[in-house]
Amino acid sequence: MADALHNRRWISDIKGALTVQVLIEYIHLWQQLSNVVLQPEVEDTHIWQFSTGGQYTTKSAYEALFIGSTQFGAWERIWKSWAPGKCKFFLWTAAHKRCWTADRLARKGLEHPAACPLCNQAQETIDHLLVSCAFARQLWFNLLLRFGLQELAPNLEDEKFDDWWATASRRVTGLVLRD
Amino acid sequence: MLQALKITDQSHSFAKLITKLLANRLAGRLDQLVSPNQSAFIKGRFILDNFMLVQHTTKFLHQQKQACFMLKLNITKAFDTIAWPFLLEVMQRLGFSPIWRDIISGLLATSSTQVLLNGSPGERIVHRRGLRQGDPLSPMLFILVIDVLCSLIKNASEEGLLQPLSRRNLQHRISLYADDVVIFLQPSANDIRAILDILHLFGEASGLKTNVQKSTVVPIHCSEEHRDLLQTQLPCQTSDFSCRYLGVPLSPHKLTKAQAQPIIDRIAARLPGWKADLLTKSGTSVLVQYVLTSMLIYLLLALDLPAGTLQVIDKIRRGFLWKGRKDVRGGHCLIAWPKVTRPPESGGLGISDLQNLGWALWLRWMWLQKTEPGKPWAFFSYSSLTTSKSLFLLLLLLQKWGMAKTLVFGLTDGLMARVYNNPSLTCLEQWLLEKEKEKWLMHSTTEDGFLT
Repeated sequence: MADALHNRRWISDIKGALTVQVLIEYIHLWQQLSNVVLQPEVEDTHIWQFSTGGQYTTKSAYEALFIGSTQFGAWERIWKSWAPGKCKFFLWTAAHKRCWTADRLARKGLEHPAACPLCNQAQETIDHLLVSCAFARQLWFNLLLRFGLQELAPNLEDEKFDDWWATASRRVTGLVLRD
Repeated sequence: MLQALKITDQSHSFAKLITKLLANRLAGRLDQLVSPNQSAFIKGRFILDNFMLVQHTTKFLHQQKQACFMLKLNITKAFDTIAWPFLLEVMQRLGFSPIWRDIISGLLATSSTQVLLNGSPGERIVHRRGLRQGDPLSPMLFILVIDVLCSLIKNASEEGLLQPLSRRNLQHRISLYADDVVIFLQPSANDIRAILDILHLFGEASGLKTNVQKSTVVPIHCSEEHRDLLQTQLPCQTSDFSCRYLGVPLSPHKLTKAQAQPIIDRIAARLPGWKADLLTKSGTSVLVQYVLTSMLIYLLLALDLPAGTLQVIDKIRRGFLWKGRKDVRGGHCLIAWPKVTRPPESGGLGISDLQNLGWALWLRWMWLQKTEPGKPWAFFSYSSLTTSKSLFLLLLLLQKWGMAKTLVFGLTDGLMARVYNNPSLTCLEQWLLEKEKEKWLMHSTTEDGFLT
């Protein structure tokens, strides 16, 4: 390490063609290196950046490979709950809008009911079935009434299941704590 | 008749206390006593260290186009035939104190067997050789004894009794995992005679007799003459690559799809036993992740499985998850497979992605090579350990750090300074600084078009 920094010897180790990109990066690196101060008494060691202990773990490397992939907002609500596995699995498919509701059947050209078979008011989608259908709203209201949380039940403005669930679960912590 | 009987734990409680005490004491020191080619029963060593050693030696010899052969030994009834005087002698030479040896000989001499026939124990049979079964100390004593074979072979190569394998001398020509012994040799009459003599000598002294008939010879780059010589001089079975070593297919080449077929079959064979119709989707997803995927981890650590094989395995995993059977049409799968294999935070089920898992497991070897240079396989050059997939992985990870990839491959020591500036040094960056692989990196980077 000290060898490399002495008289900027590292520059001579650069290999390959000089393109504009390389030059830009080179200047960035130059700036970073200019304020490096070496501690002569410290030995060089290997540290793995992705795990807390600095030791390599396959888990950390595997997870690192997914850094930067899209975030799934509902993951904590689904997978960190105490619900039985099959409910979590259903919520997961519902969050991805992949349940076989009428709108999806229609898109694939399969046989499907024209309107929601419960309320006969609107097309059956997963959001309709879980929140905006009159029957669903009634069900949520009755269910939440038992816990005194009826104000959380979806009302007419709630159209998306995800949004309603996110706000409801945010509010429920506040409500429960207050009591 | 006694040979067919299964022997179970027979130590009495007092002996158990003592052996456990001794075993605990010995376990910490075993690492210094036993040569690095033996990785069984020693803390901090790993079964695949042996596989890596054998695989890279085979690869290396194959690349050198050197005529040689691999001898896989079969030792008869290894555990039960150890000669006591030999064990005690070995312990004395290793510097065990007289107290230690007295206790060990006491433990060995008091062991006896009774045959349970129709529920009533028969006459007491006093042992004259062999280690106790079910004793925590026995495996350790066993590897002390078999380590003598390793030293014998090492001495024989140094004395010139066994010819060196190639011009660039290999550090190890023998690999041991408990009684699984593999030796690399030259196909010459002298060497074969020498090795047979050594095995005979060792067998007579220690009681660990090699069953030559049941041992296997695997020739590497052998001409017809060499093969004839092997056949006449060694009464062994001859087999070709890919053979199995420690449960993993061993071959100097990358496995072909056909060679990997047994792996697929083993996974597919698990499915019919599970009543998938009675399971919920979350149940099948647990089986997929913790059984079907976990079965592969050992193999993925050791091998670079062909992409086609991984695809077929993915198909089985996908089919079982959604339909509970091997093959499934796209319409049955509610969510695309690449999405399912993401971590839960990114909207997946947390089922491992085999490609990424393989990379992450492979990277471990690179880490170990840097941090534990004492591993028997670590002296193989960096480039023979690295595959194109790990290079790709490095690039991927470096990109995630925001490292500029053109400079990563252009620089050597300069990067090190940058790393030093950063309190959290990154091992990956350090690897890239290695002079030895500079040439190799240049070669593959220009292929990928990063530098040109």
